[in-house]
This record gives sequence, structure tokens and C-alpha cells, in this order.
Amino acid sequence: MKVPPSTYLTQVKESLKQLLRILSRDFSYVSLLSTDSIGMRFSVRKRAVDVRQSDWCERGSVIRVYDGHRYFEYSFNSLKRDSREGIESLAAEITQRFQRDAATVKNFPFTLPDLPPISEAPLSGSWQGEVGILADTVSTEETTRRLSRIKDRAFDSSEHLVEIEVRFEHMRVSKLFLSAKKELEQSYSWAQGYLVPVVRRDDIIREMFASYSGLKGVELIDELEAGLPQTMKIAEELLAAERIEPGEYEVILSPSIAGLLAHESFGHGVEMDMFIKGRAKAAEYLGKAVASPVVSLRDGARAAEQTGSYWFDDEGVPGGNTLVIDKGIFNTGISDLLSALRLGTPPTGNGKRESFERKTYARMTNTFFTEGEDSLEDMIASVKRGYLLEKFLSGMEDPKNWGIQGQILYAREIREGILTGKVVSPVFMFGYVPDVLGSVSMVSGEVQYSGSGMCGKGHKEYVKNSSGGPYIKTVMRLG
Amino acid sequence: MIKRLKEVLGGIEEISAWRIVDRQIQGQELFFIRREVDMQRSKDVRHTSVAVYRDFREGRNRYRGSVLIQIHPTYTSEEIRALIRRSLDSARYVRNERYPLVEPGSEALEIPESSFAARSLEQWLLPLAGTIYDQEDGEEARINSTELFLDRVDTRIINSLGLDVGYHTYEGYLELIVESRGSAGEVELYREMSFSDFEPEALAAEVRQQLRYCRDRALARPAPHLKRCPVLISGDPVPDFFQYYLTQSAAESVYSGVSEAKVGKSIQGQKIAGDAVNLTLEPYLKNSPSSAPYDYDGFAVHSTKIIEAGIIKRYWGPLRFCHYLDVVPTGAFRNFSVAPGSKTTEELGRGAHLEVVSFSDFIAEPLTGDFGGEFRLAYYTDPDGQRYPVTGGSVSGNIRDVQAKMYLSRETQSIAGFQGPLAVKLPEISVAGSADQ
Repeated sequence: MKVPPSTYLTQVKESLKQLLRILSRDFSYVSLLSTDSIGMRFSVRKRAVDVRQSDWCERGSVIRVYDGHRYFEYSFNSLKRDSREGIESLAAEITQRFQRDAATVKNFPFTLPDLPPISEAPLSGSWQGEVGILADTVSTEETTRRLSRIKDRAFDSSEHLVEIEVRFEHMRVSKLFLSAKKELEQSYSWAQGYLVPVVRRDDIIREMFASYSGLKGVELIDELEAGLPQTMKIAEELLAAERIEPGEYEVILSPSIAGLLAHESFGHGVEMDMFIKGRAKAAEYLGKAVASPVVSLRDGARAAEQTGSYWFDDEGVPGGNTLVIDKGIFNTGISDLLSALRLGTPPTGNGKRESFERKTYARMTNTFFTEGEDSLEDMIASVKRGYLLEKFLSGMEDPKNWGIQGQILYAREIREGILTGKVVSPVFMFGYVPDVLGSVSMVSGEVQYSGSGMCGKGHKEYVKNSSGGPYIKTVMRLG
Repeated sequence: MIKRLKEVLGGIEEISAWRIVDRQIQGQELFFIRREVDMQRSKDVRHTSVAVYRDFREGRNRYRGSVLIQIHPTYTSEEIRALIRRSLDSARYVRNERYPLVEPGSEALEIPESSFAARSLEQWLLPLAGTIYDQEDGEEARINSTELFLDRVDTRIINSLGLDVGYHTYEGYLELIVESRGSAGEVELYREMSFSDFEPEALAAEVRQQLRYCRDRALARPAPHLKRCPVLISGDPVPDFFQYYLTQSAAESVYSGVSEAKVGKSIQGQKIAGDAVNLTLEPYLKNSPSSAPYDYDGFAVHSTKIIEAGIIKRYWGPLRFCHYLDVVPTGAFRNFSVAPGSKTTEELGRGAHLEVVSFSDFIAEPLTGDFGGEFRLAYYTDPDGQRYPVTGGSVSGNIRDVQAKMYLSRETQSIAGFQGPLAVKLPEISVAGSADQ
């Protein structure tokens, strides 16, 4: 099914174009991003049901202007529809606001940049995504009934289950980008789902976590249903999990953990707004070896079909497909438009905002290691003393010092090439990026993606994206 | 907007109850790269959420279904009506036990006015930025970049029982990146701070401390492999650590069965050899953007002791879950305090130990008690009493394994949403290093 465009954005487009025209009298560059993203979140637990609009919902606009020296932005979500006078009055208000903002910092004891204007090639287009079953064509009754059935099956399957959250969330994202030379519209849908069982035996309590995502609709619930038995099996295994002995180990990263490594190591590390600040060590390694020759890494809104996909970014730049690491050599970073302007490099379609209310940063989209030629069986057989790391919970970047931290839900012990059946949980993994990537010795064939989480820049600016990879063998510190 | 919304809600018979939370936000933002203003932003937005409730019976069971939706300012009355009708239809399939809404008339705490109220938001940008950058002393460490946000938020909460309350808050946020050069190259430290008042001394002290820490990180040695060692955590991880006790004592956790905490029983085990936890929920903490006289239901919140000497005094939570447990409701809080402990930081720092002052990302799982993280800067005091900065190691443990023997510092700190011990000393926990074996 085609994802329909936003009726609201269609209705207000002419008014917004009028606003743009009026502001263009005072500013040499003006762009406008308007959003109308809607969706619902359904959560079923043992004794509680929650239905609400998704926290990713938004409807509003952000204006960017250039005053000949620097860029200003203003975010707002009130607009008098179909009123010429209302738009003229809004334009006057926005102009005054920018003039006031400029005056505010004019006498500050800080320097002000003298940036070049944005130069755009003409581009217009309208894009619509496709999903199996559009979420808003399915009733709440049907959705909650299916989620409740999963919950009931979970309780039937385990005497140790204390609680489970079965969650399904869908979003229809619609965006309109306007500038003097661009008129772009896109609508696409993504969905994500979670199974979060909590099991207890005596005084041991463990929480398992399985997630599902994609440019999908209600058909994603089929994946939750199919994933339940394995999720419950692992939850039971976690009750017997031990703590890991801290140390350096040979590790095989599952596609989920490989994605975390891609994201935290050479994802955040090559966001080019960090190059401008001198915060990215990667900037010193352009064209140089940063990983073993079996490692290649891509990022791009058009590089995969997942929750990080789109046709144009929040600055009106077409989504890209960037080869970041090519057979171990750092090829190029990923960039938003203003960073590219400062660096004199082409933007890569990675300018993203948390919402219309927030600033644009260089952000990842779909970030993943590309496939290799090894089999998982051979990889396990090659490990003398190590672990298969299975599922990530969170991670943190350190682009300046190239550290990486990840919290892993559980890992399976490997001794002399055999999975021993012992499970350890939780596991923290650490490493120095060049060491970890330089130690990659085997890479399996099939790339899998995970797009159910959200990514922050530091501890804020949360956006959707996905990460992934095949199975990867390397060496890391675990604790 | 509110009038239009109330008219629509009043015109739909099937609605059993409703609640509106309306937030109007004005914001100013400055982004610096070193001492250059990279970008200037402002915003003027309104977020209105509506919970619609529908009561229904199935057999002998009585339910209150609800759906929470956002009403954007650009919605027409027809769009609002259609959305509410759809939500009301959906609420028929949300089978939650009945619970009441907040009745009007409760007396609320008066929250002191923020100093930010004295001027317009943009007039505070220079005093804030000036205070931050004045702390650069031209020595080994400097500010790499900052992001400064200041919002004024006007909140109004209304419900169908006649409740109509409001308040305003100021929400300041600083992201601070500092850098320093050592023999192994340049290093940086990351720090975020939230605030609701202009407190230049506190802000300046925090920036100076980060610059000092960064200088030390540049000099730090790779962390040694200690295997197990007493660990002192301080600063931001301290409230994250105590979140475990908040989660365990929450009415929602007890109702759902994920917590087995019992009122009148110890939450720290039977034999507390270290300091006992005393935890209080606070509607107001100075300089906390989370301070508010009401929770999101419009329930008037007051200072409430939850854990005393390690014993749970009462469960806490919003009206709904307290009603389910048949306990006196406390409301949902975002601030809490923990009483200081028995030892000074100097006493806590005696003997071989690791003091972690900057984590990459300290993780504390409030359900299982697992905690840990990689540290970017710690100070190791070795068995000979030598103290030196180390970097690149990690700590991990479980709160339930350490809580009976942990000590809290007598010195306190106030950081966003928390007032309590500056540091917590954990007995022998797992410490992995990064130094060559």
C-alpha cells in the first residue's frame, strides 16, 4: 500500500510558499521545513493497557534564514491557514524576531562567523513510501487483541514470567521542504515493536528485550508473534546467567552488536559537524587505514530500507549512500549542509533534526558493515576463548578519543571452538576503535538491520536510524 | 485553543472524563564553537495533550479505557472532533481497572520564582555564556564548544471534574565540551547540566571543575587491571544509582509485580553494615527544572518521605496506581533527595580505591540493579597511598550485592532533579583496566 501524503501539508503549502516569498525580500537565503507526522503506540502488559499517540508525532515548521553573514532559525507551530493577512503578519513577526536575535549577540564578547550563502541546484519532487498494511486501516480492537494474545501466550509458556510488555508503534512521517529552488515532499511509514519479558526465580530477576522494526505497517506484529518463543527461551536462560570475568576476549559480534559497533565507532566518529569542532579523531585519518582490510562500512538514507531511510533530509538534500570505510580505508565522513558549507565538501544528505523544534546536526541514517565471506560456524570454530555477544541495550560514542562503550544484554561462552551453553549477563564491552576495527579477522555473509532504537548526539537530539551488519569476529575488552 | 477544545469535548456524550495538559514554550538557543557563535535559534511552540476516558463494563468487570492524543495548534475544530471520536472508540479496547481523576481544591506548594523571570530570555544569554567562558584560564584546558538552551514553559492542567491549575518553569540546559592536550594527544570531556535559576557561582564552579578534570584526563595513565576494588562514584551517576530505589518503591512496579518491595520492610537487605538510605520525593529543589507544584494529572505534590533508614515507608506514584494498591496517593514526582551519609569524602577516600569522576555513560538498571560503565577519568589511590588519574577502564556490579555495605558522603550536591550525597562508596566491585597486561 502507498503511504498517503499529509493532507495538512498539501493544504498549507501555498501559504508557506507565500511566507517564504515575503521573507526572501529581507534575507538572501530562506528555507522552510514543515512536518506533519502522526502515529500511535500500543502497549499491553499483564494488568495494564496503554494506547497513545507516539512521542514521535509532530506538526510544525522551522525557518532558516541567511543574513549575509550567518544563519538563524525559528521554530513555530501556529499558522493561520488560508489567510494572506495572517501570513504577512507572521512574516513580519519572524523578520523582527531574527533582527532582534541578531542584535542580541552583536555586542557580545564573542566572534560571529562570516559564512558563505547556501547554493542550491533546482530540485523538486514528491515521494511516497509503501508498506504492507497501513496502520491506520486497522482498528485498535484488532491491534490490542493481537498484542494481548502474544502476552497471554508468553504467560502460558513460562512459570517464571512476572511481567511482559508487548509494544507496537507506527508512524507516518510527512515532510515538506521549500526554498527558492527546491520544493520537496515525502511521506513514508515505519513501525517498531518490542517484547520485554521480566522473569524471576527466587531472588534473581532478569529482563529480556527483543525488538523488530522496518519501513512497515501492521505486518510487523507477525514478527513479534514469531519471535516470542525464542525471546521467552532466552529470558529463561538469563535466570541462570553468570557475571563475566573482566578481561580481553576474542568476540563474535551478532549483527545487532556489529551494528552497535558501526554506529558508535565509525558512525558518530565521522559525523562531520564534529570535524569543524575538532572533536573527531577520524578527520586525521582520511584516506588512511582505520580497520582491517575485511571491513567496509556504509551509511545512507538510501543505502538500506529501514527506519533511517528517507528521500531528502531536513535541509532538503537528497538522501545518500556513503561508503565510509572501503576495505579498511577511511573514505569519507557524513555531513549536514551547514557543516559541508564550512568544510567545502559536498553534503551527504545526513542533516537531521529531532523535530522541527531542534537544530540540524550531521546524523547517521542506516549505518552498517557490509557483508563478508565467512560462515558463522567457521567463526565460532576459530575462537579459543571468547564470547558470542548477542543483543545490545545501549552504547556511547567518544569521537575525539575513539573509545567505544556498549551495554550488552547477554553473551554466550565459546571455548575451543564450541559454544559451551554458558550465558553471561549483563556485559559491558569497551575498546579503542582502531584496535577493535583493526582486529576484525572474519566477517559473515548476511547483513541484518535493527532500527527499533533511537540515537542521541551526546545525551540529547534523539532521532530514528538503523544500524547493522553481518557477524563479525574481533577482540574486545569485556566487563 | 483551550476554549475550542473544551467545547468539542463537552459536545461528545460518550466521553466519561478528560484531562488536558497545555504547555506553551518560548525558547532561546545559542551554539558556540570555541568562542564563535555558530548558530542562533529561537522557538515559540505550544503542545497540548488530551487524555480521553471511557468507562465501560464487560460482565462483572468495570474498566476505564483511555487514549492520549496531541492536539496541534493548527488542527481545525473538525479535525479535533474527528480525532477525539476515533480515540474514544479506541478507548473501548483499553481494559484498565477503573481509577479516579484528580479532584479540584487541593492546596499546592508555592514554588519560588526563578531569577530568569526578571528579564526576557534573550537578555540572559550573555550573562550565561559570559559566566561559562570567563572560566577559561588560558592554561592547559579550554572550552571546545557549548550549546546553551533557555526555555520558559507555561503549563496548564484542566480536567472534566473542574480542576484548572497552572504554573510556569524555566528550563536551562548546557552541553559543555572541554579539551586538553597531553603527551598522547588531545582529549575531551563531555558534561551536560540542567538548571532553572541563574546561579553564576555554581555554573562557574562546574565549568572550572570540568576544565580541571580534562587537564587530568590528558595526564591520565591507562587504568590498571584491578579485578575487584572499592569504588567511589560521584556527580551525575549518584542520582542514576538511587533510581533503583525509586523504581522498586513505585506503586506501578509493585502493582505490575516487577518489584517485591514491601512497606515496613528493608529495601537494603536485613543487615545494613554501611549507611542506610533515606529518600524523599521533593516537589521543589532549588535550581531544578523538574520542580513543579503539580504532577501531570494536576495532583498537588508535597515533600514525601519514601524510604527511612532503609525501610520503605510508603509506595509512591500517580493517582491511578496508588488507587490500584489502595494506598494514599503521592503524585508522580521528578525531583528527589537522599539524606547525606556518615562519612566525609576525605574519610571515604582512605585506603586503596578508585574514584570515578567521569563516565562515558553510566548505566544503572533500576529493575535488576545491574550497573556499570566505562570511565573517561578516575583517580586511583594505590595500596601505597599514591593517587593518580587513570582512564579507559570500566566498573560493573549489582546494587543488591553492594547496598548493605555502601557508604554515602556527608558532603552533598544539587544537580538537576536531585539533592543528596556528593559521592557513594561501593565495596569491592568488578574493575577492568585498559593497561597492557
